[in-house]
Amino acid sequence: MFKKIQNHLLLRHPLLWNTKFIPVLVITLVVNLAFFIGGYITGAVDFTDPYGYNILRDFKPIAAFLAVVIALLVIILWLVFYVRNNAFKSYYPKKNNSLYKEWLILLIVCLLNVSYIPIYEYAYDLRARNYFDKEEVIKRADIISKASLFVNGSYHSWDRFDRTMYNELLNKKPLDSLREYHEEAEAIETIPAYNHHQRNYDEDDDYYNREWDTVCYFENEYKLTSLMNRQKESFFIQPDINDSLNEWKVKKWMLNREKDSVRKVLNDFFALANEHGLKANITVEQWLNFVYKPDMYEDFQIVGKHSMDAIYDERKENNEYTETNDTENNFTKNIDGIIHIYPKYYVPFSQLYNGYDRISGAYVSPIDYKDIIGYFIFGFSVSLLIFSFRVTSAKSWLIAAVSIGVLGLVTFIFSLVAYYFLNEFIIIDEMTLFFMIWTIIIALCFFYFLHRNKIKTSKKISGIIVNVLLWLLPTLFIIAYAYAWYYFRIVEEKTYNPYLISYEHPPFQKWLDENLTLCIYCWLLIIILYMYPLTRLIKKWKGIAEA
Amino acid sequence: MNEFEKQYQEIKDFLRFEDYTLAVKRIIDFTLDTQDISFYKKTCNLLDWLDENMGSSSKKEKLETLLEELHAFLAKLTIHPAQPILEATELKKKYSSFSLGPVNLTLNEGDIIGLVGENGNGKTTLLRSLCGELHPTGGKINYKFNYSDLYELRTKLVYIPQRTDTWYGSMMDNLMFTASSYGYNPEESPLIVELIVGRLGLRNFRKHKWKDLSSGYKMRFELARMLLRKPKVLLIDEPLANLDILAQQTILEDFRAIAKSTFRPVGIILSSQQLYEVEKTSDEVIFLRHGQQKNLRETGEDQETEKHLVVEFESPWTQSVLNDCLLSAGLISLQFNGGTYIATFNGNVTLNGFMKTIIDKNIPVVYLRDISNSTRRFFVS
Repeated sequence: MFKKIQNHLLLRHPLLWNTKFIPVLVITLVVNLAFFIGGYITGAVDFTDPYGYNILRDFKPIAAFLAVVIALLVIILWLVFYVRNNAFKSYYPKKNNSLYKEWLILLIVCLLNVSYIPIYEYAYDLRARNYFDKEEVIKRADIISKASLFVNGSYHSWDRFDRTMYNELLNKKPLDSLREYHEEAEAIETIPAYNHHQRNYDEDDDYYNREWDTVCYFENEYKLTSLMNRQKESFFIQPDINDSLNEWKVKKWMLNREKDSVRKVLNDFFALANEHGLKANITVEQWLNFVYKPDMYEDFQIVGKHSMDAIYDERKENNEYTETNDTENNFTKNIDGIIHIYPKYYVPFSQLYNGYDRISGAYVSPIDYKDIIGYFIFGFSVSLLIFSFRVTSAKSWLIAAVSIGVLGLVTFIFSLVAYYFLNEFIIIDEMTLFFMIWTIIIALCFFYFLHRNKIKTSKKISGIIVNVLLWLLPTLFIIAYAYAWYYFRIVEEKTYNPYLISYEHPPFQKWLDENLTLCIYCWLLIIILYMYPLTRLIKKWKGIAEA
Repeated sequence: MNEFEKQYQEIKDFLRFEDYTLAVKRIIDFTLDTQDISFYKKTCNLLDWLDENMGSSSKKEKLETLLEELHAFLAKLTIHPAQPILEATELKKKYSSFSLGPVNLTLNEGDIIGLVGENGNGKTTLLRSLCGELHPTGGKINYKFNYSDLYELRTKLVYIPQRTDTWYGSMMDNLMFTASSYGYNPEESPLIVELIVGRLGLRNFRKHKWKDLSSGYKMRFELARMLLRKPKVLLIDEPLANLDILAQQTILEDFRAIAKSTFRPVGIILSSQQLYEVEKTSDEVIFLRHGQQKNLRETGEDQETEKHLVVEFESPWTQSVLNDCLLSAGLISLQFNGGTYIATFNGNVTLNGFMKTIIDKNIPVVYLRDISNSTRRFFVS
């Protein structure tokens, strides 16, 4: 089939035949499809994984490695065929736009060839997103989040050391540590102020005795190890307001002894677990009885997050923090001489949390246009490197590469030396000086190229210059960006007011700062645009005598 | 009888004497002249048939039929007089240690100009200047055809360097790529490639790889590619190098036939060390020594030289003995050069007179050639 297509192209579209566009397009698309399928398959959410890592995630580095190897193989194989015939070098008739089309073909091939990893990542996330729509995930995340208050977990951490300063601050601004919680929740209902602590600080002891430590929720004082001080688990997909409200709501039910509401939380969790075929070793009622201790919520039974979740009960902690097996919450099994610790009671919390955390992540931070910008830049760079090789010669290409390297080093050292020795006379820093030198070099190269094109006598070193221009013209954007920053810094220094707490950046600087991604995409677009006249110019330049 | 009719008669003679190889080549030339796809198909079909029926008795008849059809078609076409295609005036190219020119030459459509001279005397420089690869430091090259820019100009000036690049991939794909790049339509391209491959005797080498081809066949494939490029001017550097004598003669004959096409004449400039072969084929021969031009057929000073009889010969006798023997026959000078003697006689002596002398004096001669009208004499003086 390939042969037939190639033959068709050979007779009708020599450029497409010469660039081997169709075969390489098919190959790169197939590889992309394979990576998509691979991503989709390995992106399956493992709802049975209690250990906080999805075993299938191990495929990501493998996929990345494979992507690099395959991309290299594809590009080498393609180049072997592509460099076989060079109509431009042989002075075959070409239309003025022909070189531009050829570069676009190179660009497409290069972009497709660097897109294996993003495609894999996209499919990986897509698979996770395809389980449930976003609203459903938020609903389920809320259930898990609410239920997290009743499983083994951490407490809100309060400073256990010298709280003098902290409490002074608290006196001025209560609820500082819960500020986020408070700020979000206060719009709905004000949480009573957290305004006093019973504390007894012993200056001779670095550690603070938590038995004396209490926290106030809803005007009631609770021990730090009370279930009322339990910290919930949350998901990034949950809107901040939900995140806070979930905890607040459940704690309010606990406070108001709304047992049915608490039961509903546990029931919902069990329904979710059943849906995923996950098992607990307790029933909802047992669980409720273990945790629903409305009398200060101190005397509760800890329920494990999964069957291997060794429980550590902070209530039993002594001052030395010695590790002991918590036999009240766990039991041990000796298997082949190794002691395994299992919780006495557990629910499949970790499995659900990890599963939905993956889905949440796939919604919250899927691979997007910001993440793939690096691949775009790399694709553009490779296409320009190949194109410059194509339109000039291996010799010019190599000389250009070495010249840029050497000149780059020399100008960099010169910039450093000039800055350190002449900084009394020059007001710019070393990087700006470096960029200025390179702006001049690029400008000189450009004018030299135009000049050779105008006088049409001989190419001289313009083959090298064409390479330099193709590689370095795009960097003018980076230089311009650096100039803009340099300018703003100068302005900032001139208008610096030490009495101002924060400096308000000029609107354009703020815009540049906030829209870097947009700027880079515009830059890539500019490259696509300026390549059109440049390739036409290169075609004309090629006709000039070699010497 | 015009040139076309002469060529037609020539092919008829080839057929009469059953020289089918030459006849087929010339019939292909006529086919290409028609620029008519129906003839392309007919000739290609005939070539396929010939491959399978080489010994068939109806071969002659089929070729004659096709020839008649081609003749009938081409006889209606107008033959345009050959036009100048390239004119170099006072062309100079200076390097730090070498200077070419001034060179003056005019190339007409259908003409072959041979460049001869010792190595390092500017042949390649002149060819590269004419093809636009080198920019002359003086003088002017006037290309007498339209072109929009220098790139387009160079698409029309086909230069084959002495050392050609390796072809990668299939030979036919390479040729097809050239054909489609040069604007032949998809139906036409495979036919025209087949015809040109047949024309240059490459049908049996279509599936060969470049590395498996001999120098002669590589040159032929280069020539095939060159022909597909519809050149206005062909510039070929040392095409005869590394070729055996038979291959040299064949390729020169091909050049001649290609250049002299009645309907698609091409101007050819080729450089070579094979003086006599080039002189036989070329309409004009330019000798270059130290970058300076000497034309074989020139007026002025060289006409004086042409009045003399200059003979190149080989003899085991010594120079002094030969000198004594030939003095009475009107010898002006005798030079020993590269194992051969170059004898210059006054204008009254003829070659027959010289031969009579060597017979009378019983001089043993193993080889002789009249080089009075050859650039060979420039190599001596």
